[in-house]
Amino acid sequence: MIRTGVNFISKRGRKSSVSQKIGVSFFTTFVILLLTVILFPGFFAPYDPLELDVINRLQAPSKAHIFGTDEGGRDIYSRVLYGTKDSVGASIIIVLMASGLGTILGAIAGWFGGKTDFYLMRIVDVFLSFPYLVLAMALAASLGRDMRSAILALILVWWPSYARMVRGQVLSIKERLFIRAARTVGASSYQILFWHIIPHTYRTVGVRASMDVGYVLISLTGLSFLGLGAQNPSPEWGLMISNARSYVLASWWYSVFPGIAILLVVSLFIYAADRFSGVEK
Amino acid sequence: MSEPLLSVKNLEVTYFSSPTSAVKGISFDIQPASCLAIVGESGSGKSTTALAIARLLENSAATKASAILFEGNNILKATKKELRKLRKDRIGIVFQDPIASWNLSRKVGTQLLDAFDKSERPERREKLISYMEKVGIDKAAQVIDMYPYMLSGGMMQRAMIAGALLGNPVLLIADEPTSALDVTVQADLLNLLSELRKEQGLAMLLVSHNLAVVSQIAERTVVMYSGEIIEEGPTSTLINSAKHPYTVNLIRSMPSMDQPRKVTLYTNEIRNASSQGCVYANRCPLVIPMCNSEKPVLQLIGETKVACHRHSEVAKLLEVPNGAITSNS
Repeated sequence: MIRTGVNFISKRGRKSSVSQKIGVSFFTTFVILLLTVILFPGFFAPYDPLELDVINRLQAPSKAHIFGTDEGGRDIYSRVLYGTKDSVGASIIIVLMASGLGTILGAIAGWFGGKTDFYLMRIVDVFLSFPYLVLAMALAASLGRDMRSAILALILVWWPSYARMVRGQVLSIKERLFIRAARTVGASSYQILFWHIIPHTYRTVGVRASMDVGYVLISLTGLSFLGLGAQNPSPEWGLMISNARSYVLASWWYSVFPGIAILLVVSLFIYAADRFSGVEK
Repeated sequence: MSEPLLSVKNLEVTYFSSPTSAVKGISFDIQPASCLAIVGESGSGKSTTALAIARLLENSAATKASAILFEGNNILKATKKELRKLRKDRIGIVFQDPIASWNLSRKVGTQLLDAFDKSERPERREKLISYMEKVGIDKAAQVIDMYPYMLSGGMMQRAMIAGALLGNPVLLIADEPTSALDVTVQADLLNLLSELRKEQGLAMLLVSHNLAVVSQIAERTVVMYSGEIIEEGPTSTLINSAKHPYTVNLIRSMPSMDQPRKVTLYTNEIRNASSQGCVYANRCPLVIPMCNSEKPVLQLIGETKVACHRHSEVAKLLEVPNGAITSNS
């Protein structure tokens, strides 16, 4: 009998171009940096974000306050850094919860089919038939004006699109031969769903999720800007821009720096997700 | 003759996507520890039969039968739970395409052990390693923790067989287990299957279009054409003195090194099932008017069963040289 040796083709299908590799390592570095700022803002920020210093109110950027100060004399640079937790951190949590919920419900709908599928997808249709920001505003307003209700509202608005996407994926995955093979070794429906089907949706969901962090951030800061999310004196970016409206002509720095922060994070997440999706294709 | 291990009675399978049946009321038995082969060309319904027996076509086809008796129980009436247990413990299945049969994102061992309880797993794992060694996988203890994409096609198929044997099955359904592999690996796997069969008293349902493979390991052979059984009998008798013109042509179409033969090419379509008469009539070189009007029934002639009006004349008319087909063992 010929014995087959252990010959690996270990990197099959894993060729990625240099630019894609740069894209991924760039994304990783960027996320690590953001997480560090979210977890340890005090390490980078020179001032307390909430400490009032009314004598130095609305100071232009200087050596002491590189982004200037707001109407209460608080350092905008420190507030932007502390605000990362409220804005970006919350967005990441929203996306994680929404994609998790959407993946599980979508997979259940696609896998079990029939009535389960029908009713779940009609619920999804209801959510998807509203403009998402209008729906988020309505939900956030009815849940009470605070950060927690804004987060909850956005999770509720965001999961249906994941459910729809994952359902489609599952419909194609469940026809593949390895699912039949898993049946023949005696795996149960739930085992096949959670071990063979859902892992195959991670890639698409991952790419979508990394892009969605940017979009969710815009919506969340938007809700805060409209007064439906974070409340004063929280250093949330959207709220800061909202407060800065009264001073926009005299003190440009007040609205510009939180705005740049939003722009930077959103565009970087979207750019990174774009790069991410090119890998392993 | 003892009680058959598997007894299929009037099996009829219709895919939802097609108006005609893929399998039209076939019956056969498999004795314990014996090997039955189903041969036929692509689309003759042989894989469908194999899948229908394991009830793996639930979502894509309607399966009807008087009964599919396995160890005396009707598989068609089994509940989901019973079916799971049956697939886990009593019936092993190996598919045609080893690469597509694996979930590439889950380790070989974990994937095969999924179905067993947590408490059972360490013991089963040891057993799986020993089976993997038996089917010729080197360093099985390492391979079990690898991902399937790290293995070659032959190794994937071997591991699949090891997995199929893990529950101590009494019946192994092998749906063209060697067709995706290269020739040396094929021979190797076939020897392996025969050995395992002798060792464990395993019965086997082998689906193949390769007569050389069949002659090597199967005791009995069923020839299918267009969803019907047209000839059935002990493999050696069937190959050496085929009684149905289709079987004769099937055997003749096998290329041989020492005797170059002319292969018959068909240009006309397979006959529609709904038409009367013999399914093979429009391609048959021996067709007579009766073939088009009356359907031949499967009847026992000597050792083999054959469905042909002119079975007694076939050998003479087609001038089959006796023993022209040599098995390549």
